[in-house]
Amino acid sequence: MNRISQKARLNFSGRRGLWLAAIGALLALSGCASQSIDNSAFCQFNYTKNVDEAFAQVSNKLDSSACHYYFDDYMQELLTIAKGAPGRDNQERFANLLRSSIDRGVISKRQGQEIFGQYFDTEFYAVKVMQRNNCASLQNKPAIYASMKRELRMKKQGLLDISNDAQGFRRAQSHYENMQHVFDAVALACTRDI
Amino acid sequence: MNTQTLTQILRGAAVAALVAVQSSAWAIQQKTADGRPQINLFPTSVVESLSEASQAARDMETDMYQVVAELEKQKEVYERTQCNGSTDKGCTQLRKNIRRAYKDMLDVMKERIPTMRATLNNTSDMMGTRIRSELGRKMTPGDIQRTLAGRATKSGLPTVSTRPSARQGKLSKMFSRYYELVRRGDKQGQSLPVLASQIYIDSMESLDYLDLIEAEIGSQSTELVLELEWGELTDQLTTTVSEVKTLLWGEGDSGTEILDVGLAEETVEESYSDLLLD
Repeated sequence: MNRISQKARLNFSGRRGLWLAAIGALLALSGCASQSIDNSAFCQFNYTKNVDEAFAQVSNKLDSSACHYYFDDYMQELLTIAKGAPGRDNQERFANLLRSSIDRGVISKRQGQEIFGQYFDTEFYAVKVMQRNNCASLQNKPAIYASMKRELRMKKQGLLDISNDAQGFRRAQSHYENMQHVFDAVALACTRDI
Repeated sequence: MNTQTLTQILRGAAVAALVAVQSSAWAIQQKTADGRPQINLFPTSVVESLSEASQAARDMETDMYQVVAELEKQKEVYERTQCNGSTDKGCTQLRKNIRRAYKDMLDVMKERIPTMRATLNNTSDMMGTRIRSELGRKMTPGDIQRTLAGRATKSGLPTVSTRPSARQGKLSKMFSRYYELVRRGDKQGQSLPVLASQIYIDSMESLDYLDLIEAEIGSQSTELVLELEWGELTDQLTTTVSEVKTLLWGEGDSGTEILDVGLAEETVEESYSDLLLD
């Protein structure tokens, strides 16, 4: 009898525990959901054509760690808006945003360098990060050329469409052509190795 | 001087020597790690080979110029007078003349091709070896990019007159231009990898043309050409002539292309150095 009542008591307390846990979880979920809705609303980018306003808005939102997740979306928005008002100042604006994003831990320094390098450097980030010698690296020449082509399109956005730096973009194109010319010769010479 | 003192002196000398060796090694490492990799794409042997290629091409062109010009002139007359298919005496004579000129051209090519091929082979082999060792094995793609980007002034390569003389064909012009650029150029010029690549690829392409021409010549016995005196001009003849012309004179003047390569001015954006990878 005692054993039965003890078992029943245990069952009851176990069931009550489960209920409490379920209610707790529900409350927590709803709390998270409302918090997430709040964050989502706060982190939402409000479109503006004014470049300074757009950068200030993004900088403000990135002060909140909840918005860090939206960094890539912000970058895309800013790239689009900056195209509407091309000029050298834009490069400085992006550089400052990337610096502050690195400082705030939104992105790593490497990611910052990657983004800035891909859009605003006349040289190719994809080429800079290759560590093996040319004979080894160029075994994957089609993939390298594909990365370079993708990056050249990004440079067209960054240098030409956003910074209005036609000379800079021409330099990037010149690098692109010259490097591929040299890479072709090196790859050919390496395959003829005896 | 007792043994202990001597040992101490020797130990001191050994340490000093070690420090000296270490310092010089460090200095060498500094030099290579700090600056761009030192490359030597154009040793004297390559420069000499370019000079020989240029001379061989010039010799071939001198022999070829008259005969190809004559052939072209006759072909032009033949087409202008609508001799195609005609049994007219004049047209027959024109065909005969064209074939004779064609045979002359084949003979000159036959005679000159072996020397030209040997010279081109030598140049492409030497250039290929240098490119493989200096650029292929010593450097990464990033090193090449840095080298190309380092061209700050237009003094990297000397300028050469882009106006060729009337008798200077593409092949000889190409190699003499290369020879001049390499001979007079800064040996560590930032555009030299591009120049080396161009020489290498052009040599290989010229060799391909020589192969094509040789194959054409091989398939046409001169006797057959003469026997066909009364027949129509064949497409093969036209093809061979156009290949010879492309090899010797090219389709256009690429002089400016060579000189423009890699001469754009480079400005270093110091203010973004923190956001730019080396």
